[in-house]
Amino acid sequence: MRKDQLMDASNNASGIETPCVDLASGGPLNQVVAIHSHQSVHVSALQEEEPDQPSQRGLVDQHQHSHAETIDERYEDLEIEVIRHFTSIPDYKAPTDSKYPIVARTPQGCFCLDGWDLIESAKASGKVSVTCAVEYLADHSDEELAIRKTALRVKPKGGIASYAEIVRNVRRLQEMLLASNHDLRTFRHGGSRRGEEFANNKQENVIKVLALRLGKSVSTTNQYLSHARYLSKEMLNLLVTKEVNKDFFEKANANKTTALTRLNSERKSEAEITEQISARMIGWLQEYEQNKKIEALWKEHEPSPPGESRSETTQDPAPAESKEGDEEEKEEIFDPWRGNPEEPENDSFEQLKRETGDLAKRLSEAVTLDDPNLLCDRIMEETPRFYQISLRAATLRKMQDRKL
Amino acid sequence: MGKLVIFCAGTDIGILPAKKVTSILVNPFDNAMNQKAIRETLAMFAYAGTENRFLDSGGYQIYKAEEQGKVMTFDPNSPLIESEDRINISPNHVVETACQLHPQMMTALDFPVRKLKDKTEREKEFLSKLGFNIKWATEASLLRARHCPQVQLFLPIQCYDLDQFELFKRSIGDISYDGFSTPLRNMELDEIALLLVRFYQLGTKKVHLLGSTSFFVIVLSAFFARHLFDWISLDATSWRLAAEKAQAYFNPFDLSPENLKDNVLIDESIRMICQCPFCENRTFTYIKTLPYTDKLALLRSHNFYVIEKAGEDLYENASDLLRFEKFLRRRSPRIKDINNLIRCLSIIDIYKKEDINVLKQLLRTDT
Repeated sequence: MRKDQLMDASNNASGIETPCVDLASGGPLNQVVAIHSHQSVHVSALQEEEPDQPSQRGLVDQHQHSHAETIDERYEDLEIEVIRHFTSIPDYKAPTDSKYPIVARTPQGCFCLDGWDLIESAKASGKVSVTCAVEYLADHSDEELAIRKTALRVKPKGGIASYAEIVRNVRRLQEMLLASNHDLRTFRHGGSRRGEEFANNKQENVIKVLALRLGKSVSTTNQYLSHARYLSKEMLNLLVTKEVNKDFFEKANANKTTALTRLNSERKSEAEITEQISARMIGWLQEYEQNKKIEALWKEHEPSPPGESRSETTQDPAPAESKEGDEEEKEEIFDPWRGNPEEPENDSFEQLKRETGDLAKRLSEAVTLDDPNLLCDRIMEETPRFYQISLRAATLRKMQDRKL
Repeated sequence: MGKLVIFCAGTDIGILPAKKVTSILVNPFDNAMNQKAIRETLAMFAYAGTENRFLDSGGYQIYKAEEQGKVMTFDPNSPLIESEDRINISPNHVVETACQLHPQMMTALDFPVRKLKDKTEREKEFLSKLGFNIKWATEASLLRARHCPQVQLFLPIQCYDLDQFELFKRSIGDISYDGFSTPLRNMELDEIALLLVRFYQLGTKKVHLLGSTSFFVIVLSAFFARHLFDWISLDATSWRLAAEKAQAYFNPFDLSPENLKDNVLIDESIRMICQCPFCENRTFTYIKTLPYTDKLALLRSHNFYVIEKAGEDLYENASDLLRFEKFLRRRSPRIKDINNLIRCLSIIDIYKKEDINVLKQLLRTDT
């Protein structure tokens, strides 16, 4: 049955002209709302239906559908009174990102899975109906509704992408945003609401946008970018085609880090690094496909085993990488020491004369006071100064000779 | 004119800070506990093209074991052990490790003196370790001569002052060795300088300073390498630890650490001043926003690079005190420390051959 036929059947079954929009047909959401926001659908007939009875509405043939299947999706105005609050799974603490309450419509009624606060606020403002994002289910079960309510904030609406696709797409998105002339704030969508402030730093702001909009932490976002780093577009596409998983990226990354240290040491350009790392990836992928392992790069240099074992002991020294997580929450300001003090002016005879005079004066004062300890202390104190003056005098003399 | 060498310590094959690491310091516990570790260490030397290989004795692990209250044994007939509650090592283990890892230099096993302030406590501590240190230095010298005469032997100096050093020196008699190595944890800069002058006066040509690559220690070493010794080397793990524990980025000028943790705000206008191959043409934000492991890798590489480079630059500019002072003023904002150091080096330059006690008075150290 075609989707438009399904919609007609549904409308006929409820006995009214239900304004709805097939989500699959596309089109900007605000247009949908503008057209249909003042109309509502009555679902009382559906509520009276027994769950084990065949559908009277001709909505679908329920025997053809499992509990899990969504048979249709629409935006509809629903009477607030008929929407039930599904609470077997508690409501999410954070409000839904959806503009409309998300409702599952089954033969037993309409069940709000997310956005109950939107319904309550519509009710409080005296409205009798509210536009909802409605998923049609041929059959009803609490378990299915619970799965859906949980999945709403776990599984992406469009389905699951392969890890390689995520890595590739996040990288492309980063490139686009970095190249974009738009103010990144326009892309943040809810970021400010969560207290995320933008800094005067485009690279950092792009990562913030990515993290916010993809619903991932900054470290996960950075991980995607790291896995894509120094891989050519062709290589990323190949990895997508091969459907490589996260495990491969992680194993390859250990070698990539080693290779990067080497290539950076040799001051290779970004393009050269990308070329070489991408070329290496092919080998690592072949190795991984064979035995799910990638040999460490340095093993190429492992010498043949030395003679006899010396000691029966035991522990392999494991590199102690410290973990994330013990970081202070306090924000610190990066304030590097960037400038060097001004170079002192070139030494001069006048300067030398002045400093020698000062030194002589200090020594002479100690002599006048006639205190043996003071005199000894003063001499010891001034000796290195006098030595430095003598070195400077020698340098000045040399310069003078050169001029002559 | 001698050599100044900075050893990369606390590394392993997985975290080498560069493709080529000319000088690496290893120790029996971390790098030769079993055949696998030995193979990996030799592979690391080969991979990194290491020219200078230094075998530390494991004294630091003894120091930590004592601090942690572990059972400590020094039995040459038991295997080398470092576990949660026990440690076993002897001069034989160290020399045996040297025979397997083929270093150019090694340090004899030592029992480190703890970090103490009180003078009486220091004296007690020194005397309680002296017997071990004399015995182990003597054994190491004999074992080296028998098993690996090609390896240069450095005798560790575990003391708090010059008098204690003189006592140790007299006590070991005329055993054969190539240089001294000394930990710096109990010493101020002028005390280190005084001890180095004493080494010089005793005809020592080679010195290794254990466990520090702070800017001013490198400054001091550069001067001594340039004017008084054939060889001064240093080692440290700060390049790694600062990166891993504090996500610190060493300032390329004076090696002061800059925090690059995720919660630090970085203005886009801040210019990247470092020309090291790991930072060149990159930004602080690039480094800051790298994923954790990538960030650590970059920070480790950068930190070690700038330490080595600082050593080269300081050595280059230590040809005379005037040039050195000017150079230091360009590199570090710590003018008072620079003035003190230049004063100290001036005194040393004049009086290096005089009675050490006169020098001590002039330097006004408590050593």
